[in-house]
Amino acid sequence: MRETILSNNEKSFVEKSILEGLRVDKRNLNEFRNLGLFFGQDVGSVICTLGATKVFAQVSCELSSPRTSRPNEGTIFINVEMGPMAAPHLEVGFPLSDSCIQINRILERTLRESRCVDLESLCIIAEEKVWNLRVDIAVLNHEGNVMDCSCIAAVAALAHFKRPDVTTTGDGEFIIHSPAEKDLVPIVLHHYPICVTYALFDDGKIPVADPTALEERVSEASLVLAVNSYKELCCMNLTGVSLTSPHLILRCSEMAAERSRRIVEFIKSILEEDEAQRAKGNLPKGFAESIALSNLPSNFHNEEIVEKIEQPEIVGIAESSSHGETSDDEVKIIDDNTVTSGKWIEVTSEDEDSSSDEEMPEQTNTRTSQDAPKTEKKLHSNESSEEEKTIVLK
Amino acid sequence: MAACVGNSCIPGETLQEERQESSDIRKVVLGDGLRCNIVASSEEHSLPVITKNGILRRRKPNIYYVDSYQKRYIPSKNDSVIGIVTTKTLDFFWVDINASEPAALSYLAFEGATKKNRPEINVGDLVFCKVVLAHPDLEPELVCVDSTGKKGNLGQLNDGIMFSCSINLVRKVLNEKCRLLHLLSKETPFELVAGINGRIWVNSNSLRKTILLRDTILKAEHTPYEEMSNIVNDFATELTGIP
Repeated sequence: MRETILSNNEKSFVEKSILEGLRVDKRNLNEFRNLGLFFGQDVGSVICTLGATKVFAQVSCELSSPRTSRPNEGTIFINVEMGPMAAPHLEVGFPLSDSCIQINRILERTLRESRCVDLESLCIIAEEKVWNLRVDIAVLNHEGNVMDCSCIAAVAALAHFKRPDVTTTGDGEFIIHSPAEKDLVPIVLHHYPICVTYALFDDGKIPVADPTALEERVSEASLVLAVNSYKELCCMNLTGVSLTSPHLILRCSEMAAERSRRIVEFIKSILEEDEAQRAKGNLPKGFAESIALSNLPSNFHNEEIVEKIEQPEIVGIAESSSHGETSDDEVKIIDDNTVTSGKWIEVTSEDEDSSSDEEMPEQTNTRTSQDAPKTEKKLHSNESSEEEKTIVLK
Repeated sequence: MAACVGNSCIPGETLQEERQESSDIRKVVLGDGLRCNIVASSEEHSLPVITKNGILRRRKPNIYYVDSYQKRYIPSKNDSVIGIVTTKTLDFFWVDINASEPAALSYLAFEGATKKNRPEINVGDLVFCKVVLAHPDLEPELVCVDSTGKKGNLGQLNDGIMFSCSINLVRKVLNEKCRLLHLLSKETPFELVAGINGRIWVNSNSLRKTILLRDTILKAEHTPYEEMSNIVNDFATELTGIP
């Protein structure tokens, strides 16, 4: 089915209202829709909702041989599917639609090329056996900003996922333990890169956060920024035709950094909750809660749009390097069990309204500087990555 | 299987309770979701068969139809619809009316239009028109004039915003029992066009008000008739301060 043509009335209405600082769904220009995260019974299965947009992500792993260029690293594969279930005009199967390929590619740049997953810890025997992670993303409903939603879903799924533990024995064999024998091992994530999308209007002067499907169609260009909670820019993508200024990109990246910090906090809090529930033996009962929440957009906030954000500057290049251990022993697969599951956690959506946006500038400075080292220590305990270069925005 | 009025029904069930209440009525009108197969040899009718899922309804004296949640529009004659012009050809505008096929709108089907004096409508414009031909094997045909050649309320829609919704919402808004539009009009002046093909167009003197109107109308989908005054009150409180 072809996509319904965009009427001139809708187009001009959206453009005019954006110029007045209004949006069709009553949000502010800088306001995001409600975010919801729901974990399934299996580890690594997540539904993420952003307003009416809904994305399902599932992480799985299998043993395979490593690439010859990187013999002591596991691999990560990302697959995005957008079919007619997401929106009737989307086609299923090959050739993949342009938007699907674009989302896939941006996610690859965000997750793989930012090296947020510690691939060396996925190595069992160098040059022979590594874990191959696969992130399957299915867009269930396309109501705009599928990019952010699938990125959050993918990151949350990776953080939630656990692989079976492996022991290497001296004689060059390895044992894969079933969950009953040994607890599952979480994937090591150095940082959580979060995509934040802005649609650009008025010759690239006005960025609009979290665009809906209608706004995406009307906008001139879209700017995707992937930032982690340490304010490191992991990926940037600008599509469309629009004049834009470095000024605007820096301002957007500052706002994106704040948004990303909050989402990472949100993901972590929900992961903890899920962990606690699973420990008690309460398994999630499916994704029923995610359905109940998807309703009409609401909440009209009259607060003024937060526009004044200090100019960010590129301060320097951070380099981090550490050494990891790799096991060179040989292995034998003993058990290849499926994963048992824990508990279901229900998440109420986080408020991303502008009332809290106003505290943004101070919070950014105090909070991140304190929190970052703490979490970093925890995350980097198993770390074994090569040098990574990242731009730090301050 | 026999379907009862007021209960849910599925395709294949038959309608059996006809003509019991009033014997003087000879005709039964079958509406949406019901079909009567005529057996050619004997001039008898088979029992009406239900063709879609929903709730079987009856309107007095003898109209039967199936009420179901629907987003896709099936053209039928005399419906008022909102269309988007998708292409212009020599004699016709081709208009998207949310149906399976684009509908044809002749250049001459406008008030005062002649071969030389063509209406100024571009691709992407909205038109409010009536369906004059709805045959399963032909493209639907639209007009923007009534039988006397006057345009009435029909024609191009300028400014404002058009939004898509379920066909049930449009029916609900247009229903006499639903006092939503009546209550809204007491609060503020606005223009509204409801196309039965699942599209509503609203316009008012300020953008913010139009946005609020759109939101209130969409909220009505999940609001029972008695509670319409609540959402209108919410609308009124949000409206204060807007010129």
